[in-house]
Amino acid sequence: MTSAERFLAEHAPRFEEIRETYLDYGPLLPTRYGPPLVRLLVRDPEGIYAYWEGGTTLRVLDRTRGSEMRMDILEVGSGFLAAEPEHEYEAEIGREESGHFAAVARSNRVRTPRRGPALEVDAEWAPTSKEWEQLRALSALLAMPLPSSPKA
Amino acid sequence: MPRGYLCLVLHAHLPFVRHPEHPEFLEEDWLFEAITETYVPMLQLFDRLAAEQIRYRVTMTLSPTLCEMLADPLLQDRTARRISRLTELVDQLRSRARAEFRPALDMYRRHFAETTKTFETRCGRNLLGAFRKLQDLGRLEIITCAATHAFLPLLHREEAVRAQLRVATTNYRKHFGRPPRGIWLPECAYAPGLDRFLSEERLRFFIVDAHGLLNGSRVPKYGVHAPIRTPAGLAAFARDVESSKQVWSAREGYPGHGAYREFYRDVGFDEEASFIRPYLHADGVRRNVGVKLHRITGEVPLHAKEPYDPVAASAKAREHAGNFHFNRVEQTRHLAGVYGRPPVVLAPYDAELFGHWWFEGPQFLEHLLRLAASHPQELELATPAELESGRLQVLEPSMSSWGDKGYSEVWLNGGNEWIYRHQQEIADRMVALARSWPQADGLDRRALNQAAREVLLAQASDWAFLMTTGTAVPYAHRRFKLHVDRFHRLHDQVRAGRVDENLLREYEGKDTIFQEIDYRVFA
Repeated sequence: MTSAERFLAEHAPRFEEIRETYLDYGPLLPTRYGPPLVRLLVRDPEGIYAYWEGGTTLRVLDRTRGSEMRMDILEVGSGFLAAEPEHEYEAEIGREESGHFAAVARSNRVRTPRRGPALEVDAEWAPTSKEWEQLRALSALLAMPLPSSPKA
Repeated sequence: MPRGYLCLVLHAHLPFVRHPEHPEFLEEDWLFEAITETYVPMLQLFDRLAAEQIRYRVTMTLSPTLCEMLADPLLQDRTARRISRLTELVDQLRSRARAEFRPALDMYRRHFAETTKTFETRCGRNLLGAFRKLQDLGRLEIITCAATHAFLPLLHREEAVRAQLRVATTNYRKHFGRPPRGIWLPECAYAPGLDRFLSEERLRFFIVDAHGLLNGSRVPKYGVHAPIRTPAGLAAFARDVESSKQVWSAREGYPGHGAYREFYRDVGFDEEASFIRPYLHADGVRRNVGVKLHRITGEVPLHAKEPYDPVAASAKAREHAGNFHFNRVEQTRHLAGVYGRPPVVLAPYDAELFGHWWFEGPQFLEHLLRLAASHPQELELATPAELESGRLQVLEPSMSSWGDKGYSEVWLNGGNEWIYRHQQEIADRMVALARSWPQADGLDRRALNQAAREVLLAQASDWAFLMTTGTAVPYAHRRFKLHVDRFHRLHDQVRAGRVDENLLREYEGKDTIFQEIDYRVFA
């Protein structure tokens, strides 16, 4: 939500909805494009999004943890997947037969962002104790807490 | 050296909405309202200050889509028509108004008379020239944005990011006669690595939200109150949370004060149907027309709002500007004590807040700029361009945006996720086309250039945003799908070696944006 929209949402009085007069939702788009494909996008530190076409099994690989998850999917589809901050993910689509997975497409690799400060301090740019307190006040305001002292 | 710096950044952007195929079009109102309520009042206040030799420095984004609309003769004509209709409406209202609404109507009469003067006489209908002059005078720092305001972290390939940035900087040179020094990343959205592409365009600074720096690869010693250097060598400035809150917050924010004009009580709903009908769109549906005669009053229902008093509202805007300045002085005094150096407080706002949503916002800004100019030793107005040089702490900002929850969710959720499959497919196809036709000419070249325009227009973050907020949803769907559909048709025709010139001409006549485009920007 941009600041203008946030402002509107917070200030708007509730009143009767304006009658919608423009109900043309536009031309139909292709339901599929052909070649097997899977792609990932990052939503936030805890969520990624995948869309695909051309497979019946989706395999999501957590490259940071070294784990994987498989799920049955429709040939063309999309979905949001739970993720962890600062993890790298890849996905594959393919077919699974008697426990054996054969990939037909592999996705791009994505990395989820940090949920809070990195805590890595540059020796040359180390915050003084006053500066650390200032950072703590900021992080509290943003609900992204910092510990009471920097990592040694 | 001053005790601290204040960087005011006003981000002016609207999606490209231009419908020559209709005599009037509802969504074109977005531009007309922004021109009469925000851009013209801002120009007027900047002009006044410049005429009085008052030193002010303000940073302003004029997004490429907005620039292209402001420079468009059809939209200029329609804006002029709109202003004269509103002038006429106000005259009609004045001849029948009750006494308590006279002050508001007198104010509107002056407002539209001055708007006409600025728009027609001062600017010759093209506001860009006036903004450019203020930049050349050293008052405004105009920064660019991505070509169509694409949410860059959600573009899946480098060529698409490069095209958004290259088309933007080329367009900036067309309108402002020099390269841009800085960029407003659409939705303040950054992801690690983007700085490399910004650097390729020789941009020197950009702005991230507060958590973009706080959660960067290293703890930022000076928090959000000093720029940092990214790995590719750009300066990144962060949004100051405190000053944002003071303007935006519903409870503590200035624009919600009872003396200010009430946005939601409009004569489009108040006046009797037969009277207001000629000032509505052809469908006759009651909507806001932009003349509002009540004040916010307090937490009362719309029917209990009291008449607007322009004098009281102006006094309040002056008082709030004084309060804002006082708070920034106190804030920088405190921060200077913490850091032992002048802090940089960067306060970014949607430009349209000032005037469109918060009618008295331009008056607030003018008072604030005057106050700052008269107390420069306490708080100096500056632009990021003046503060980005020198040795800065190096760190990579974190992925972040200024949207709700701070990341991509506003633009990627259950209500709009379906767009990305198509958006990415057409970008892939565009890159392939550009590589297959390195030297197209004639009709092919025109078709490829138009295809590139359609890809860019489909990438605008506005469509996903409107789908999320629930405003103009069918229009957002239609616009997105139309651009994808137009791209596919052009793509197939170019590939088949059979470009339909009539169809091409139709698209060229509708999506006229970026006449200077070279499709090879996608190669």
